Amino acid sequence: MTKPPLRLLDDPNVSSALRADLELSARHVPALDLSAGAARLEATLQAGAVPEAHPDEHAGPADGGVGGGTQGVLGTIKHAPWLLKVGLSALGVVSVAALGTGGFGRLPGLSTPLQHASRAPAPSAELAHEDSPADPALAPTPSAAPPASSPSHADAPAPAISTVQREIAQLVRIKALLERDPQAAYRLAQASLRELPEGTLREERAGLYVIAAFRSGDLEHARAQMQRFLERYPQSPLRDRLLALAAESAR
Amino acid sequence: MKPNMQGGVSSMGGRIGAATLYRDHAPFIAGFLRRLGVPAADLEDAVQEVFVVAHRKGGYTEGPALPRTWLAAIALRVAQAGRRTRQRREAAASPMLDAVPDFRGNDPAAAIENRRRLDRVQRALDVLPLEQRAAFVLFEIEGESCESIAVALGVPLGTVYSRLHYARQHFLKAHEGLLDRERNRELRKLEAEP
Repeated sequence: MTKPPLRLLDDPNVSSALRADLELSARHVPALDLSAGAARLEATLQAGAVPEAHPDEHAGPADGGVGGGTQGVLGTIKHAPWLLKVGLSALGVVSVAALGTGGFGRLPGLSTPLQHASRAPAPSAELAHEDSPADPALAPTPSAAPPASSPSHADAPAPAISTVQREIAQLVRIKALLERDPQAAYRLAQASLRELPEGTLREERAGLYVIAAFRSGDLEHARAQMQRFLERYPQSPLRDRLLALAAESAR
Repeated sequence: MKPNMQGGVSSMGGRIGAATLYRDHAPFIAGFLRRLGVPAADLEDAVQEVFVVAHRKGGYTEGPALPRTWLAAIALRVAQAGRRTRQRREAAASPMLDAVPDFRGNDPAAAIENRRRLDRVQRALDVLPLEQRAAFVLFEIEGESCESIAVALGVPLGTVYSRLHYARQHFLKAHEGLLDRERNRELRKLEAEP
């Protein structure tokens, strides 16, 4: 078929009922609170939790290409209180024990105490192709499930958690663990990919997974995963960083 | 020059930041996502995701794709990902249309009739595979050109034509079937009346 099609609305043979339906559909706009949505978006962007890629930039930011640093994370927390527990525990500002299980309520999909991840054995699963069940402690929860209410916030409505917010929380936590506990970062990245195999920020999560694999010392596996990552994301901003890690590990 | 953090328009290179894109195109994206089957309950989050991804991509850069169709391509991927997530969750389907459509200025009977017609269009759209549906909505309902759709979706022009061809066949058949069913129901109702 090489001829441009005629729009149904321009086609004189189209029935009046169909024409009327299409015209009505074209005019209809779903209800959307534009000002609230714009404010929410602005808050997310100002928090810097979502990295911005540029067509002319292939190297990631100096800190690894994902996340916007503590300042950004804490900015986001103002608008997403559940990130507080994620961010602070991941950054080691507040211990998980101090937060307890009832202090802020269960985290959406990050209910695992950090200690479980920290003592987990070295992983061996393939990138996003794990068939074996996850460590029960890291078992994923439904991606849009709101956190359970805590005693102290029993009356507060549970915040609605979108998949992308969840991914951001996971990225923040994985990134924070990369330096001080790469194996825990690896486990979390693995669990994250298993839970949300096709999320919006999958590329970033998969990239951190590979970096964590290198840092964990499982070099053969890391190199294999890097190959798969670069095949899937040849233009990734993490490309140079991963290649540098691979070169470093070969020395 | 990169877009500022608020996502405003940069002064060079014809780049448009996410906040400006949101202001100009959020209603379009919301409508597009609904027609792709995103439930009303998930709509706001899905719209946010589209513009967060747009920001992550560095905003819109002037090129062969128009901002609307560039955003629509992102929205299609968000809808695809959301659909997979929903399927995994096996969540009950939300009502196809917003519970209370905004038809201010219309009388209630007209509002009900409009809702029924919108519902008919949505039901006919729902029979289409997502990629055909995206092409159909952009071309037939939003009036975008095939060239712009092809560039935004990253597919050859012939693929857009082909998707439109099949989408139109399926849509017309489904729409006609729904109309017939409604007419038959009306007839039965009339026959049942004393």
